[in-house]
Amino acid sequence: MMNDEYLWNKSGSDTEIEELENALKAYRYQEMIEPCTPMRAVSFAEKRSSSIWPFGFALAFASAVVFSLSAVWFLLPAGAPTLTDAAVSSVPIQSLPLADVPGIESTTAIEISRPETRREFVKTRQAPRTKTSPVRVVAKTFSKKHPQVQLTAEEKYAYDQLMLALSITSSKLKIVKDTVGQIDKPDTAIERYR
Amino acid sequence: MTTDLFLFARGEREVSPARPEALLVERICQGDDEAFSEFYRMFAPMVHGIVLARVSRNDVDDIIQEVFISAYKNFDSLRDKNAVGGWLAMIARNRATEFFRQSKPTEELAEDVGRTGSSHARAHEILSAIRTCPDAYREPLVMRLVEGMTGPEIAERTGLTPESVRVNLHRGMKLLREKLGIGVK
Repeated sequence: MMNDEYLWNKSGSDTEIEELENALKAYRYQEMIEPCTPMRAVSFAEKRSSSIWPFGFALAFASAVVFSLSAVWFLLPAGAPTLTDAAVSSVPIQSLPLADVPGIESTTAIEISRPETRREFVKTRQAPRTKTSPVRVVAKTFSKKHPQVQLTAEEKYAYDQLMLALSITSSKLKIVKDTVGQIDKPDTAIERYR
Repeated sequence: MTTDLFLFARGEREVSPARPEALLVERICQGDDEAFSEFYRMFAPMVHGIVLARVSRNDVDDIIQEVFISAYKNFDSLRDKNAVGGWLAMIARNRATEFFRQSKPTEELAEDVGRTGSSHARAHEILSAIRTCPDAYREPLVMRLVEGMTGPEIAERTGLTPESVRVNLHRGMKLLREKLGIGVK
C-alpha cells in the first residue's frame, strides 16, 4: 500500500518510493554556473562596430588627398610664375657638351632655354648664348653603370617640386594615421561608450 | 466567484502581495545580476525536471541555459510577476518540445549499459517508464522522485494549485507502479 503522505510532503516513510528516489538520484540537478546575461556582452559588440568604419573613412580621405595633390601637380601650367622661378632664372644658361654627361653617347651639346615670360620677373646677367644644333638624346644609352646623373636646371627644378609634393603628402598621411590611431585606442572607445 | 467579479469591477478587489520571486524579477529588470543568480538557483531544479521529463540527459544542460536566457530577455513582457513560475515552466516545455521535434530520434543508453542489474540501469529503466506517462503526470513525478521536491514546493514553483499537483502525483505514481511491476503480486 502506497503512503500518500510521504509522496506528498515526505512525512512518514514508504520503502518503494524511497527506493525509486535513491535510484533516480543520479539524474538529479547539479548546480551549474548560471548563464552569462546578455547585458555583460554589450560592450564587445559596440567596440567591434566602431573599429571598421573610421579606418575606411581615413583610408578614403588619404586617397583623396593624394589624388588631389597629384592632379594639382600635373594640371599646373608650365609657364606660371612660382616661388622657385627666381632660383631657376638666376641659374646662368649654359651649354653642356654631351660628352661630359655620363651615359649619353653624343658629341653635341644640350641647349637649355627658359620661357620668355620668366624674364619679366627676374633680370639677371646672362651668359651669351651659343648657337648649337638640335640635341638628339637616345634614352636607351643610359647605362646602369652610371646611376648618378648630373641634373640640368630644369630637371633639378622638377625634382625639387616632386620632393615638395611628396613631403606635403607624407605630412597629410601622418595626420590621418594619427587620427586613425587615436580612434582605434581601446581606452578611448570605452570612454566614448561610457 | 460572483463576489470577486463584482469587487474587481468596482476596483475594490485586493491586489495580492508580491511573492519573493516577483520581487526578484523586479530587481532583475532593474539590472541586478545578483538577483538573476538567485532566481536561477531557485528555479533551476524545476526547469531541470521539466526538461528531463522530455529529452535525454545529455541535452538537458544546454536547454536549461537557453530557457533562462530566453526568460531574461523577455522579463519585460511578463505582466503578472507573481506568475513567473508558470511562465518559466511554459518556456521550458516549449523549448524541450521544440528540441525534441528538431532532433533525430535516438535511444539513450545507461552509462554502464553492459552490466545488468546495476543502479544506473535501474535508474534508466525507471526514467524511461516515467517518460511514457502522460504529460500531466510525468512532470510532477520527475520533480518529486528525481529532484526531491515536495508536493507543496512543486505547486509553488510551477504555479499550479496544490490540489491538482497532489492528484497528478497520486495518479502518476499509481501508473508508474503498474509499468514497473511494483506491488503486483
